[in-house]
Amino acid sequence: MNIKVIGNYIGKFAELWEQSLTDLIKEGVEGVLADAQIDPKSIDAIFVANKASGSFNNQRHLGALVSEQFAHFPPAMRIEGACASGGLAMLAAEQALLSGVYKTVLVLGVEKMTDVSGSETAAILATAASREKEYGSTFPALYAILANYHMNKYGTTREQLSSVVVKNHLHAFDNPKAQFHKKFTLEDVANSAMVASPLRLLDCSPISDGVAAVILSSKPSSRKAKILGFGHGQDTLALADRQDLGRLAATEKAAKQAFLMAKLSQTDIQVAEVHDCFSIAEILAVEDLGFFAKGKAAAAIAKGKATYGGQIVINPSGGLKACGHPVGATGVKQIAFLANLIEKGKFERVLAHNVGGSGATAAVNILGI
Amino acid sequence: MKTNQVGIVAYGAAIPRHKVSTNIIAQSQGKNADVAKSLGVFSKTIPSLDEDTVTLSTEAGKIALDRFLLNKGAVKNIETLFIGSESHPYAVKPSGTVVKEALGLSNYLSMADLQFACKAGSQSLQIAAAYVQAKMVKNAMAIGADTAQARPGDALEYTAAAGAAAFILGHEANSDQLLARLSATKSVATDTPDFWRKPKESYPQHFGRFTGEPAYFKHVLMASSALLAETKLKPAEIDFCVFHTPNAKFPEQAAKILGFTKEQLAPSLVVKEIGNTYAAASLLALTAVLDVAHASAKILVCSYGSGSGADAFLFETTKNLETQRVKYKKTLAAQIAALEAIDAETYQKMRTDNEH
Amino acid sequence: MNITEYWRSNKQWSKYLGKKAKVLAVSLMEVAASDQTALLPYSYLLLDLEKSKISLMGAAHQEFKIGDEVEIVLRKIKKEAQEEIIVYGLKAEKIYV
Repeated sequence: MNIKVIGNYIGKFAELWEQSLTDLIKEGVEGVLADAQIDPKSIDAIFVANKASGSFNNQRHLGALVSEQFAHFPPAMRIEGACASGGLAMLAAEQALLSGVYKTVLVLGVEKMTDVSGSETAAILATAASREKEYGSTFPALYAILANYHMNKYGTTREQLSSVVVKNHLHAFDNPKAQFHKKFTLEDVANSAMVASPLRLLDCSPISDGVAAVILSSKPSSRKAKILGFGHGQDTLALADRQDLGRLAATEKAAKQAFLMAKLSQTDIQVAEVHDCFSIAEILAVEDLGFFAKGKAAAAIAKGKATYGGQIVINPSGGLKACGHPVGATGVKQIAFLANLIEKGKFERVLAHNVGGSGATAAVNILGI
Repeated sequence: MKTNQVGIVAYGAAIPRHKVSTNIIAQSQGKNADVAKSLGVFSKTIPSLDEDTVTLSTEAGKIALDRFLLNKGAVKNIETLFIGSESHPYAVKPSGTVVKEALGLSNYLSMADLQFACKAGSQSLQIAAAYVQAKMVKNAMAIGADTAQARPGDALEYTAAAGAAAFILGHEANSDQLLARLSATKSVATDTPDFWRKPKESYPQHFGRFTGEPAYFKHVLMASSALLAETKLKPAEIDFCVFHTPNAKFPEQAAKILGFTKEQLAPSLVVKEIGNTYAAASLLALTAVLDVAHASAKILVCSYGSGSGADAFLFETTKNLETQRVKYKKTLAAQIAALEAIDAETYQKMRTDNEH
Repeated sequence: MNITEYWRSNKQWSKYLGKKAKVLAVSLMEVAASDQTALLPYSYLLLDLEKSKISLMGAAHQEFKIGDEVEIVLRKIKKEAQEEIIVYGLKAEKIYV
């Protein structure tokens, strides 16, 4: 397999009042082409990652909307897997390149969430859950259930949940594209307003607008970042149908596939962007990806093992929590951010982990030189 | 109207989880606690904002249904359901279809909602008995239920409560094991405007003391006397009496006038703790009596519905009641014992939540 | 929940009504979708029915912890607008008697 990330771009993640969905798309296309320094006509196809533009913006048919940014109208399609849309768009692009049908493709993730009210947003995000089996829940409530279970079974504490948030906000401080440049203490997190016990406001990733894009190519390139392996896992949509509430089996499956393909193991990975839609989600992620033993990650994170100077750097961008979570853009932003770290020579073995809903879908990508 | 081989094969009671004392209601009205004493009611049930006549009917119906199965009943044989209430949630769309779906009753069902103030439940019982007596169906279910609302500050606020009682009727000719045989029933109805509510109004109107002698007492005494005459029974030959309970005083007076003793009435006065549950009231009181009555006990029941009318019934319990009863959980007494009292602040909030 | 969703869901009620379950995990919600905002706060529960699991809203005014025994009941699951149908559904209630 010879797929390189030959261009990467992340727009500012924030409440971008002045920018529409189309403005974000235009910015993403221009930004990634500028980074890649290639002729736009060399884009053979486009994979657009987006969760809910139909609901947020009354605009579907995003493939066409992105394709028309190019004079030659490349074939385009939208990929949706709730919050894993970005990771899945990467997988679709990788498979298209491996098939040989295309040689250079654009993967663009975008979400414009702030044109609707807070309660409408909550209702739209809840569509990632099972409508038939999880009516009356919210997205935070489902992860709160996972947190409640994890705390009861493994003794994960309030303070340990808070330490995930403190760490990621610290990381985001150095990321100019991050939504938040604000440091928090453990007390700040634990005292923030309750959303769904035990998860408080600061345990939850924000509502964000944003775009991220990468260009993947199987043609020779002087760019360093290569796709070494990828994996795709699925599990039941509803929490009530899961085998084990203490883990996200979809993550475990996706990780296993990716590591096998890359011929690497967890100890090879120096940096990982994982799916911390809620503080508990990062704890589950790093356990299910295999970086820490089940039930041990929370304590490890609290002790500084998941930051610079520790065992592995988790979410150097600030993660979903502090960098922001424009849903469809997140999975692509992870790739763009990591590819950029590789291009700058900072790291050589990195992993991106993107989850849909309460863990029904997971996509893992391993990159390196 | 004499009946033959028809009677109760199962019953269930359901009340909300919370109660409020009449003292707290008096405080909220800026009155002293004497009002409560004069009514003889010390607390009443108060429903949660996710409860209504339908949900309470379902709870009572489920308890009755489970007991029906214990008494060798079959769900598919229940082909009739009538529900009486003053607080059906819809003006058009019956409570009963929601209840029957939750209970898993057959789609082959004669079903309608009734309204006749506090006698809508007992009228449902009489209709259910008639269906079974006529052998139109094998088994019939009747429910009286209400989540009664009173205007804050009104006298009715002290007693307007919530509850439901469900009965399943059967016929001995089908080998149904009766718990209590219905011997006779008699109803009266006159146009007496003591208490009314028009469709767009949230709360009922009532005409003060007119609700006493010309309304409640006239009709209860009329129906009960007619039943006693038809069955040729004297009060001393009857073991228990149940009269509708807008408060604890009216049934005591009615019993006295008819010649019943305090002891015959006592087990039925659940109103003292749960308040007036309107269309469920006399039926819930009947469940309380059935929970303690010995075999071969005669029970006179007389409901009252404003507007006005009354339904009187004479039941006689069987040995099977004593046998079946040992298996019963969730009796009305157990539910009353489990009631959680709320404070004044919670009462304000729950009252606002429940407001129309 | 719209009318046809309600209509399809009511076919499932009798399968679960009255069933007993144990609380596996719980969250007390203080923020909800607009359909349920008027019902806040309420618990959301993951329940063990022995042969399967189910997740349900908890009955109003009740708080739950892991290990609690509950019974499945019919309650209102949404605060409906004046012109909408009343949406009933299954909830879990702590066993009290």
